[in-house]
Amino acid sequence: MAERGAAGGPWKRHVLRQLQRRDRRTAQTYNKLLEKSFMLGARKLRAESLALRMELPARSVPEEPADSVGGEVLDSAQMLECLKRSYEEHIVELQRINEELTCEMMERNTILKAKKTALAEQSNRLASVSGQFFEMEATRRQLKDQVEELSRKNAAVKAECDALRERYRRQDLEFRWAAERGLELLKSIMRMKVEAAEHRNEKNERVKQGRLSKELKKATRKPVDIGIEPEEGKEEEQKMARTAVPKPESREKPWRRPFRSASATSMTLTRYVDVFKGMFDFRLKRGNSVSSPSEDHYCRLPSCVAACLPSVVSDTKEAHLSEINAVKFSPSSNMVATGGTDRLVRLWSVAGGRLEHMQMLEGATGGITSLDFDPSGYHLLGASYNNVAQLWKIGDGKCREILTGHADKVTAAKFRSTRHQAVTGSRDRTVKEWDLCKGACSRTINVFSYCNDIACCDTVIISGHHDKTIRFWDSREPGCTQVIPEEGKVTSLSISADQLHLLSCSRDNALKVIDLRMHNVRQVFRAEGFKCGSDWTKAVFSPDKSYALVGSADGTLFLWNIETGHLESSLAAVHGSSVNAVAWSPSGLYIGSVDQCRKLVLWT
Amino acid sequence: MATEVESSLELSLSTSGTEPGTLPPPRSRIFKIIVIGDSNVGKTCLTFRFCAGRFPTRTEATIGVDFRERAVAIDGERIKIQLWDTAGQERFRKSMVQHYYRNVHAVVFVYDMTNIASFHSLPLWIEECKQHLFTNDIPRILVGNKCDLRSAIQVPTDMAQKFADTHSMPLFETSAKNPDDNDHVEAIFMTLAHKLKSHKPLMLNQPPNHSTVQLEAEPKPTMTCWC
Repeated sequence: MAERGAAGGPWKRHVLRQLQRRDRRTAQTYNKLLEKSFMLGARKLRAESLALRMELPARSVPEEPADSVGGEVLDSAQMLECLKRSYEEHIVELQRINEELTCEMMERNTILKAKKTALAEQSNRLASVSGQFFEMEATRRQLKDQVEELSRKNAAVKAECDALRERYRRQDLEFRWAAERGLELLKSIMRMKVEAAEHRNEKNERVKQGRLSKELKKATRKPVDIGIEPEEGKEEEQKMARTAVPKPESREKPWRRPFRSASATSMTLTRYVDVFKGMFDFRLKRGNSVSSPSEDHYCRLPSCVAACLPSVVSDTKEAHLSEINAVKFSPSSNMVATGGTDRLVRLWSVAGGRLEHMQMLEGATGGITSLDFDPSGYHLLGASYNNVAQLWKIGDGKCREILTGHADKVTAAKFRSTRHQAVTGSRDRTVKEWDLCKGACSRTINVFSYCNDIACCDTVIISGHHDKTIRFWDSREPGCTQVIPEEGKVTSLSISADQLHLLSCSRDNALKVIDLRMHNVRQVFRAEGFKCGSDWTKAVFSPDKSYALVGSADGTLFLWNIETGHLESSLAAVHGSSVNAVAWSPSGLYIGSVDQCRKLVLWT
Repeated sequence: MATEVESSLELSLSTSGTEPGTLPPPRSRIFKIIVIGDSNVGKTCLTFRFCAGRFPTRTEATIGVDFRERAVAIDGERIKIQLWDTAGQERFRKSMVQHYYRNVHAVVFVYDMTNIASFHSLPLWIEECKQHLFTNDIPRILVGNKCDLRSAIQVPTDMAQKFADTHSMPLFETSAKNPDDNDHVEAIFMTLAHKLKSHKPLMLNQPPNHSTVQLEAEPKPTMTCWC
């Protein structure tokens, strides 16, 4: 309902009355509330001041008096008394509590003080301790610094030590290396000195020999009167008489013409004679027209007075990889060469009776059938299966020349009297003469039959053939000068050192000694058990021509004495298979034999 | 040192080229004389003094052997004296000893007069010589070197003379440095060469050798070489 102050009679008074009512209501409540608050205030005041007068707040609001307030004022006097009492009790209690509290507070104060002193003490201690701690820290840092420094110094010293040690090691190594090198140098110098001394000695020897030969030559020209029985007037022997002057002891024995008979009792003497003869015959032309006087003619130095009869095996060696076909001693008797189908030529030294492998000559293109040393002992001629003959120099072991031209295997290759001439025989039915300087064939001789072996004299070439003949070829005539028939295929030819006899071996198991001047057969050697083993079994004279030696098919070596004509000895049970070739050393001390089972045996 | 006198190597190299088998034309006789003694007694100086006529300024220990030659004329004949200055230290001579003594004509033993030890090792050298030489008729002489160092001499002459007489060797005391002291180095070797040439024994109280055939230039007979 909207209260409007409008002219409207009843409703305005109604509204006014309503408002007054509301006002009274609210003022009532408000007044009550105010009284209550006044009372509360008064109580509060009383409570506060114990000894104070109780005052009543005269706060009264001009309002309509409320009954409750009045009633309360009456009550309030009693209440005041009660309150006062209670407040006094409160005060006492509070005082008591206050005392307690102060006691407690004092206690607490003392405790606090004590604690404070303790705290102070602690803090002092702490201070001091921290001071110490700082000091110690400082010392620790100092010590740490010292330690660092020391370790640095230590490291430096250690590094120095290491460096020194390293240096020492290096110097030591250098020293050892230098010492080793010094030793090496010393060794090499010593070697050179040894060589130089050897050279000197050799040179002295040579000079001595030269002088000696000169002196001897001078002496021979001097005719000296010595009492020698006059011989059959042969001019040769007169010359021999003169050469016998320097050796007065040889004048005792009367010597005969060598080999007039089969006996050779004066062998040793003629040996001496031949020595001088050989030495001085520089002027003798040994070769054919091919050779010139300026070429080196090697005097045939006969070096053996008497060959010893070999009876014991001195050494054996398995010399090759397959069959050995050829064996030959060098003229100086310190080496023996063997060659076989394995295409190798091996050189062995025979010092002291033991075989020592010295060198291997390579370059042969086919198996080796025969070997020959030149008179100086520095070159070796080998004949081989594949149609060539090859020349090796012994010092460096290299093949110097290859002589090609044959059409079939070369069965024999021999030097002639000079180093520069060689003769080869081959199965192509030719014999060729070679000039080794040019390496070319200088002459080819058709020999009508397989040539199995060759022997060379000064002017004559002798060949042994498959058709059971031995043919002689003179260098001056084109045709064959002489034919000697044999009973079997001729397997080998060997000329004696004095070039007067020829030893032939043939497949009818016979050895024949043929006189080269009369061209007739002097002696025939046969023996039980001797079988010629192959088409190239070799037989040789001994260097002093007192024995003939051959190897047989069963491995036995047979030795015949030429003077008596009988079998001297047979050396069996060493070779297990057919002996292919034998050789006698020019010094007469050793015999070498080779067989099909690759064995090389040295006898002495 | 090696350049001053013909060194062994150069000579050997120059002669190594000769063809084996060809003989060089022999001009003059060669007498091989070896000089043996302890290390540092003066062998190199002695040989140098004889061959070059002066004292070497610097010497080192001889390794192996050094060859020094000198050609002299004795009675009109030209003779080459080939001195083999051998090493004294064992390690420098061990493989060479047989080469020294091969075909030697005379042996000269040298000791140092100022070093008694070198004198005391002479019997060892003489023994080695006996072992390697098969004949006893090779002339040997004893030479005491460094006689110019008079104040330092340790080997008295009478001791040396007695030793030399025991072994029937002539004694010479000389100095390679001052050759006019006592015996002249030149005279020693020339005397030796004379004796070699004439084959007279060096010591007069030796029994005379049996008369040899005039032709034999050296004591060894030639025929034995070929066997």
